[in-house]
Amino acid sequence: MFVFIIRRAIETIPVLWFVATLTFFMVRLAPGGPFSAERHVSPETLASLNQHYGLDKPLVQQYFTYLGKVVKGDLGPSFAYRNRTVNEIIAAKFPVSLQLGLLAMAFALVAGVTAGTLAATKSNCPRDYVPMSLAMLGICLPSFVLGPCLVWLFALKLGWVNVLGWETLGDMVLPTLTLGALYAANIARLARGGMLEVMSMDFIRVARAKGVPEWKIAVKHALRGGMLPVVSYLGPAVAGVVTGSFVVETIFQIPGLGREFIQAALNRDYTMIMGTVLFYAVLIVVCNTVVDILQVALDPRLSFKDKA
Amino acid sequence: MNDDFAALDKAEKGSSLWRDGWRRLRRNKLAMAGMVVVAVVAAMSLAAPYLSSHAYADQNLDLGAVGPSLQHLCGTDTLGRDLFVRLLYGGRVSLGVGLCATLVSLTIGVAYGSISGYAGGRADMVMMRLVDALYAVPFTMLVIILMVMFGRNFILIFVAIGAIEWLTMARIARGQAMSLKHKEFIEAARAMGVPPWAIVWRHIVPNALGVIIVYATLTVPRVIMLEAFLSFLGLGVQAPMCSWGTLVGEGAMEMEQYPWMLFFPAMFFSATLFSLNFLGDGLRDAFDPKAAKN
Repeated sequence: MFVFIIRRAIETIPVLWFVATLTFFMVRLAPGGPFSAERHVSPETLASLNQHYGLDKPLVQQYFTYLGKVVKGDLGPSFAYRNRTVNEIIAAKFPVSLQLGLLAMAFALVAGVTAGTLAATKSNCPRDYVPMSLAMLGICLPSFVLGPCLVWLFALKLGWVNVLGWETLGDMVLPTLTLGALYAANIARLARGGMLEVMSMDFIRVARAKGVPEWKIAVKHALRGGMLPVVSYLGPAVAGVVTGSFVVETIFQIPGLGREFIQAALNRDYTMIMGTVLFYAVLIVVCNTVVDILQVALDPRLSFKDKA
Repeated sequence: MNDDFAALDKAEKGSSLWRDGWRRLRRNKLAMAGMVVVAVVAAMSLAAPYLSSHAYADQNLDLGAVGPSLQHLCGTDTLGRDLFVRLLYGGRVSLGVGLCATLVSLTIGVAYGSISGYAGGRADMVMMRLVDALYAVPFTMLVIILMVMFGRNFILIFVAIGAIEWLTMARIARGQAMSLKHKEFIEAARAMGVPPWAIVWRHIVPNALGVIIVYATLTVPRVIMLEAFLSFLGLGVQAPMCSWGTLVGEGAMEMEQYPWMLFFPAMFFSATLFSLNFLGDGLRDAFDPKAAKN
């Protein structure tokens, strides 16, 4: 397993380098700069600002300076928030996004696995159709449609929760539902498929013949094998939750890193844009690695050699 | 008697792979309903100028936002623009972007995947490792940067989206190429000295195209969703043009007072997505029976 993790880490380096280079040149070659929004800045101030942040040097030199810093884990100072570094901003904003993401994933897993298992243990009857139709609904309703509709119904019409904010537990319900719905739906479909496959296997028939109650068969015998498709979906799901949080944080005005990234892009905050992209790239790689380890742990037929 | 034989002849000619798939598709009621909805929405979007006397950018500030009426089927927005017409024009943008971006991803993905699959060996391994690695790149973020930095260029939207979506297409094309390359007719072509690029272009791609097009149908709703996602964030098409994403976004801001501004775009948008997904699923079940089980 350690060999696997080290291998994965080595493979990740070129990917991160590619991401860093691509973002760097994409951001720099575009017209406009971080200080062009401030019209009242005099040419002298602009020159000294550019000098302070090293923007007056040749682009290639800036690129290597930036890479050198990134290797040491320093993402540089933010251009939009003076006196704050990108590392500080990420440290301040990411916990909120993480909380939202974890809540959404937890909701997706619990709701999805429950619905999928219920559907699979009694297929082709209302207990199957109802959750599966709901799942199709979840797949077809994007978060930016679902979110406003939920707000309209539960916050504006019924007044059960606040429209915006991220303080009380009640504030977190709608964003969690909005972000998690798609993944709950996908997980439900995968869980149903996986469970149906396992439930037709011989060892389940043996358990049935021994008179084990049906719910116990599902939970104790079939669940572990039936969840394999769900686990392999977790990698893409994590990546999706990360990008999905941009929209959800914008809709509900949650002070997380996703909203910060959109703001940074609009403000042309070079270092913040590059820093956030790199941070998320690392996050996705780490999550994928964890998912791969989980898969091997759950499925004895797999080994780390297949994964590498 | 002769007529009977003629009819028999026709029937036998008809039982091709495509005819079989079409028959299976027609039996799938959900997919057919989806196809009808998509066709109606597409036709209405194309015929938008003839369906209403209002223009999509015509403002009427005195009128402001009013609810649905005979004059304005879906009401008007805060600037007094007719929402029904804007929905149809938004449909043009959304469906157009969906189709174009899918074509871009199809072209890149099929070229890459079929070459990789046919080449096999080390070249295949390297090429597919690259695809795996690219999956880890947060492309949505790069597209957001691209949209912000280089202006909201219409062409850029679908080039950028197409550039993301080709990865999955490449994997499917590779799988097809790998299963085709050991077939007899390919061996024959190789034995006759047909150069590899010609084999890929003339034999692999046309034979893989059926399955690939089926998966392309499932890419269209994903692309539409991605475009709407960008437009919702204010990074897609710019005013006075609109897409379903911008309309949903505008509606979400005004829903407290003018709920119809949210509901009609949301309804149009999700109905189309629903239908496209059902149609795509149906097509896959009908034309790619091996994958139907999943």
